[in-house]
Parts: sequence; C-alpha cells; structure tokens
Amino acid sequence: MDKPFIIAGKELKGRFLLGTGKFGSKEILRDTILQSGTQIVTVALRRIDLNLNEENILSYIPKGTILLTNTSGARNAKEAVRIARLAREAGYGNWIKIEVINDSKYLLPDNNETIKATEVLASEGFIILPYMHPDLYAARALVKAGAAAVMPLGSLIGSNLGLEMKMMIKILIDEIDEVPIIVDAGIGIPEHAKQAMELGADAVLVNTAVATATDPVKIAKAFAEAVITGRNNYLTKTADQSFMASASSPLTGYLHD
Amino acid sequence: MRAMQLTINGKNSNFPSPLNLQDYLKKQNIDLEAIVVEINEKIIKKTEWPTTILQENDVVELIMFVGGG
Repeated sequence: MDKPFIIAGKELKGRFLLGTGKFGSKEILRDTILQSGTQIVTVALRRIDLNLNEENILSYIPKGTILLTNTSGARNAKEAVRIARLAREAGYGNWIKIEVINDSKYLLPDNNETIKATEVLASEGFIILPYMHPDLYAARALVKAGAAAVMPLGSLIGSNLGLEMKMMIKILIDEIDEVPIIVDAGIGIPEHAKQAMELGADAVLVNTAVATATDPVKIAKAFAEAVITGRNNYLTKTADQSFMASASSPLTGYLHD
Repeated sequence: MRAMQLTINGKNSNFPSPLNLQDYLKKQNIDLEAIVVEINEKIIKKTEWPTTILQENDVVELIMFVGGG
C-alpha cells in the first residue's frame, strides 16, 4: 500500500505532472490533460500581443486541474517574485514553480536566486515548487525557506536525455524527507519517467517529450503508466544492487555433496 | 481632450486623456477573464480597474497565461 502523495496538505491522485508549452494546438493540450489523468499542469505568464487576439489557454484546461504557474523569464529572485504576484492576482491559485534562469545556453536554474525567491514567496503564503539543480545544500535551504516540494532537473530542459543527474537526485531522495521530490526537465521517454520513480522520486514533470511527440495523447498516457509502473517497482523493490556477486543457488558441493 | 503618451506592453502610443483603464481594456480584443494589469510595476486589482485613470507616461503591462513547462 502506497502512502498518499501530498503537496502542501493537498492529496493528489497521480504522480505525473504535465507542462503545457510547445503543444501544436490547445485542443490537443486539453485532450492530453484529460487522457493522461494529470492533476497538475504548469503554465507561464506573458505579455499579451494586442494584435493577435490569442485565445485564453485556461479555457482549455479542465476545471479542477491545479495550475502551477512558472516564473519563466525571471533572471533573478526579484523578477520571479514579481511574476508570482502577478499570477496570484489573476485569480487562479497560488501554486508557483519558481524557475530562475540567467544562462541561455544551458537554461540551468540559479539555485541561490531560487532560494531567495522561495523565502519571500513562502512568507507571503504561496505554495512553492522550485525548479533546481540537484544539490543537497540547496535542497535543504529550499526546504528551510518554505518550499512545498523540490524539483531537481533530470537533465537539461528540452534535452530529452533522461536522468543525467541520477546520483545527485538519489541523494536528495534519500536525505530530504520533509517534502516531495519531483524530477523535472529532461525526461524524454516513458522509460526515463519509470527510472525516476524507481529511484524513489515522488513524481515527475514532463513537457517537451509529450508536447512535441507525433501523438501527445498517446505518449502522455504511456508516461502516466510508466510513472505507475516505476512507483510500483520502487515500492516492491527487494533486490539491492551490489558490486559483488550474491549466489542465487547453493554453492556448497557438487550435486549430492 | 488632450493627448498623452503611454507605454503599453513595451510599445509607445498616444492616447486621448483622460483615459479610464477599464474602458481601455474593454476596447481591446482580449479575454479579460484571465489577465493581469500592472501599471508602473504595481499590480492593479480587477476591482480597481473602473476607478483607475491612466496618466501620462504610465508604463502598462497586460499579462496573460500561456503554455509553459
């Protein structure tokens, strides 16, 4: 029997979180959310292009879905805080994925600025899920600052490389007990999601791999299933890995000795 | 009525003065349900839109939700 998956006191049904960027159409996005059963989706905030008459993406996100607004575009803590306050004012909740990036080549999160933003926003009552580089000290600081979860990157955003940071993520899983660990970024195929869950992650967040697939609905379902399989494997794991052999048959004697 | 300059989403334009924020927004082809307005980096709550008068050189940001990871 699995323990419930809880973020900030809210019990969640699934352990698969979906990003809403890069989808070919808003209809496909809506179908993907519905079919995958995801309960939390990330969104971003941008200036309105007054010439475009863009449709409101929120009308394609099923009611009851938790909106996790990211602070993409923020290059420092101050900008992340500003975006978070704007998101809350829009009236769609106070769940924020802090994302502070000032490196345009690798899009790596700035842990120091992320911690600063978490301190400010947590004190203002936001539910903060920070995207971070998997570093144990930073993770501890984020928890201390009031983060509701910690979201280490698996590998670079949009790279589809999987769990390049596996060892460091495992350390966070082993050492951070206070909040869930959600692997974000770089999950490219369902197998990667399964591996993250087998490692002991509480959930995974996928965007590019789903949104840019030829059939986002189908792959999202495959991701959601891989997350369940990985979780079950983690829960039932009995076999420890070792660098020494451990015989599975009797080694003493030969046949009848 | 005189003209005033406003910067709206990074673009400078002239507008008749006085101009009420709510009236301005209603004339735009946008869904007002899920937008946020900031003037000079201060959030203007929806309840304040009808009573907010735009001033010369105001920097206005109109923000909406978009897809993101």
